[in-house]
Amino acid sequence: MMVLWIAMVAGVAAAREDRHISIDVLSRFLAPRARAFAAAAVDLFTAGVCLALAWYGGIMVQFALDDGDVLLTGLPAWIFQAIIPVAFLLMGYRYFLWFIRRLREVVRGSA
Amino acid sequence: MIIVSLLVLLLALLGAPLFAIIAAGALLSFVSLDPELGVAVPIEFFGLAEMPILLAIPLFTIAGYVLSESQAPSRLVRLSRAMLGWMPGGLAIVSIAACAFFTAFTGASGVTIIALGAVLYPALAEAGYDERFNLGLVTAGGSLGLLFAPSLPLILYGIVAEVSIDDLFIAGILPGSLMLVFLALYSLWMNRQNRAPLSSFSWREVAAALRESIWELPLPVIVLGGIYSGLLAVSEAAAATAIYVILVEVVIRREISLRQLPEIMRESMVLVGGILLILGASLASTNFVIDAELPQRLTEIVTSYVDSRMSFLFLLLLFLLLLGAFLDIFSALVLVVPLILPVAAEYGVEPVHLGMVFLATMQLGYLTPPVGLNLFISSYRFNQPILQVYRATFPFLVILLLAVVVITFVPALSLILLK
Repeated sequence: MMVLWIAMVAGVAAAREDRHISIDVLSRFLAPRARAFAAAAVDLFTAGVCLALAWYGGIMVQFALDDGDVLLTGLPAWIFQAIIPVAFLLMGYRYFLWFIRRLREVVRGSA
Repeated sequence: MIIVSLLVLLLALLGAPLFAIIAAGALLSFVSLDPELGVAVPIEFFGLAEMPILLAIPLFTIAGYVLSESQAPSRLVRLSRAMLGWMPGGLAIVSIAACAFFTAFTGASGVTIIALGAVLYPALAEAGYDERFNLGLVTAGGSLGLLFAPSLPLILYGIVAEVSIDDLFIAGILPGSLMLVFLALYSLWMNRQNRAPLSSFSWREVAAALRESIWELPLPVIVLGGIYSGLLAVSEAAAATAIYVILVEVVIRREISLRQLPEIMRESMVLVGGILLILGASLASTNFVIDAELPQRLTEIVTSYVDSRMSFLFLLLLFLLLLGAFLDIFSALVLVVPLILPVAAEYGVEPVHLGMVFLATMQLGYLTPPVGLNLFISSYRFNQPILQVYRATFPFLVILLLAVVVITFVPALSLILLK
């Protein structure tokens, strides 16, 4: 259980600094404006994926609540599962902020 | 569907976080079957909770980060210098040994180059080694200990391939040492003109260096002794290591203040979050891949074209080299290992041997353009143009490639200690 929570909290920390593991081979070759635009697109995509995961995570928690799933420890399963939608929601929020920030860079670049 | 896949691939190459790419792939696959199936992704993700062994990853990472922030790297260099400095070309060998030891604990995340490079790079220059040689050596050294316990990729391979991690820890000893020996021989050959020993051997210096490192010396004993003797499980050894390192560097030596500790932990958690989210997302995608019988189909295709074990190993090596040039080691592990494991089994390649080949080849990926992590860290850390780093590292890459070829085609090297 602890692993999952550590993973999710750490994932939020990494999202806050936009330091998730990625392969960045193309953007190096782009002009600064195009690079900022690509970065914004990437952030919007990531935010979208995180929100989708939070959405389906919420459904999972809902299922666990409805079924009254209990884990070995005797605690209801939804308590442990709840970290998934919550953390992905936070990550989605973070990446949305990154998106806004980079969009501003694009706009400022053109002005 | 194809257009969407290409779009996702483009986003990946533009630097989207890999966990999001993998999760998007899994979501698309499930949702295209039935929108309600999207819930399978978080359910699979929850599988992380059922892998208590994963706790070893954050614990070893914290230990490694604390070590690298303390004065332990310079103590390690002093000790290796006292013990190996009398040999001709000794400092190069010192660097190789120190890097390998340190990387085993820090998991080749570039920490080695930053922590040890700062000590070794100037020391090598001072000892009269060629500038370009030093740069290559320190860059290549940054991922050298990958096959030695308790490196994170080794643990992660054990988890993904469902191989005993204890076995992997033993299996890595010879292949890992082979890489060290190859590099050491190359260094001696390159510096045959500069053979003046660094210092004459002095028992007094060895004793002084030993005394200085007295607190760090038990570390390998805790990890390796604990695990090999069967006394500690891997995650217990990780917990013992983390507690011990924090106790030593924060409480006893006081090289890291209590106030620094949260910052170091947060820093290490960024890496841990990166790795674990990729693993979680891959649990979902792997499940889909297996449901779609992709491994079987891949096995059928490969076996219909490739008839001998030798040619399979050769193709595997080429494929992994290419993979390592583009994908980082953790994502490659979780995405590709489940696919190639059954294919390899078809050719009688043991999972432990496959692991050694996989990790050793991925280690080269740290040094190959365009995305070799060590190249960038080195370029940044030592303030050298990236092309200069490419050129300096190339001969080391060739030497390590030779070692990888041996590891691939001589399975006994990986397996003999297990029998």
